[in-house]
Amino acid sequence: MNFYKTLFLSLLISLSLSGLIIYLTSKDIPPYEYELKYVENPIVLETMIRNDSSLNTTLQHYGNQHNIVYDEFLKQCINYCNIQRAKILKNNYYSTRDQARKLHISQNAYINQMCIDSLKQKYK
Amino acid sequence: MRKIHTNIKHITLIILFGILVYAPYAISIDHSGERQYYSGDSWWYMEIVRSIVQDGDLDMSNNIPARYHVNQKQLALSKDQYLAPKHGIFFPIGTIPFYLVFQDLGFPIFNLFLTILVLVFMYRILCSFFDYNIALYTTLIYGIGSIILPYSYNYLSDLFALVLILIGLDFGLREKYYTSTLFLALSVLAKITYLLWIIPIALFIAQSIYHKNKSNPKEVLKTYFQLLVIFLISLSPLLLSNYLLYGGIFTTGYQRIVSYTMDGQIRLLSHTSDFHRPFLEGLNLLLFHAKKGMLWDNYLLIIAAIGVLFFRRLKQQWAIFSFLLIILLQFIFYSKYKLLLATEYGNRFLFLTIMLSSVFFANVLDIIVRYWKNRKKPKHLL
Repeated sequence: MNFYKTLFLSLLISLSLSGLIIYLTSKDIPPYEYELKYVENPIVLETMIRNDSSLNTTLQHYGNQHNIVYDEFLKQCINYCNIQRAKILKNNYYSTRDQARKLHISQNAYINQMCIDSLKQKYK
Repeated sequence: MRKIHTNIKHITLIILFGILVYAPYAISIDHSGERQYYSGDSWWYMEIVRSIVQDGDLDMSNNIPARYHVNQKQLALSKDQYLAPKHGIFFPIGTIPFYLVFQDLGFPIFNLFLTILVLVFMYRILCSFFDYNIALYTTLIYGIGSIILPYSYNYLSDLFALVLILIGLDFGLREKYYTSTLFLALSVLAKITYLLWIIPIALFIAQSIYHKNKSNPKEVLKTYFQLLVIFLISLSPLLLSNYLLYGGIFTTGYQRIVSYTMDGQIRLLSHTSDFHRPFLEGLNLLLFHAKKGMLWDNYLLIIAAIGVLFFRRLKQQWAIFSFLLIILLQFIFYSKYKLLLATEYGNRFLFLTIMLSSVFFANVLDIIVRYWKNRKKPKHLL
């Protein structure tokens, strides 16, 4: 193709795509309403700890023994879980992803459970 | 214009080969199995197509389940503060005709179409350097012996961008520079990183034009200017979409990734800050990682590496230099990338390198064939 034919074709493609993009972005869409409950950490971790009755009892007992307020202790536990989570993501990213797929759960959910198990081991 | 002949029978054979080898994968989609056919980013691209066709917008919040909105680092925040695609939108746009006709089956069919196009244009490029048969055998060997085979049942923009840059390269080798520039620009639309890989090709084209019109510098400058105009016009939809979606012509979704802080606040991440891996560590992972090392999925690269040693015997040395420069740049770039293993096989980021290596593989094949033919000739003819 010579210059003018190619120029015509590139203009045609560009104008078509630009028209489509303007159409796709022209809708008045409200800003995303961020729902904290969908953030798996730390909210989900807190819920997981609170819902695990045996772990919860262990933690309350440990907190009482060491004079730590439960809510403060819970934050420490979540912090511990997040450190474990970062380690797992760094060292076992693919194996956890494969395991999660086998169990048909999200990788995040699988890793969170690993963190909780690690927490149980720590305060056993 | 440089005449490079291709054999239409060979191209038909390659298309038939592609359909027979790859189609069974494409039609055996099974999301319930352990191995997801559409793994990695594929699903996110498919949701963009659905959002465009079904909703007529790029708001992803109603297409992606809420639990994935901020946890996966796969969505971006638009300038209007809604959840927009992180990935490029031109690959999904290219899929729309297939989706409209075949619905969900349109994704694997489009991918199959792209896979076959990769082989066809690989063959055409190889014909620029070797005879038909060497080009054909190399294409077929790469069709089953490289990551083209496993990626024939995926859905990623890498393949789309690869097809477009190979078409651009093919036209460049045939001295059809205007058409070449158009396709090179379109490959950048398909995947933004291709902006880096077209630089060596642009240098090769610039050199070829200069070489042809040495005595007429005015003509050379005029052609360069015309190519620049075509390139910028073809690239303009990308700049426009960046501006309308992310607020700046040079801001992409990869620079506005939605994530969250540990105390639950929204924060934006950028992939541009992910290039800090030590080079040698990255290179080692790229090549030899236990599961995703390039060598394990492309044994042919070993032979291609031998072919590089004899690159001086090849025609079009400037083109060969540009290929080697692309390969070098890709290795440097992705060795530094933190997420270099974000690939199902080794390694989709270096698709272009793997495809260009076919020229050096064919070089070895050509040396062997010539040596064999010479041996078979009666001595008095030598």
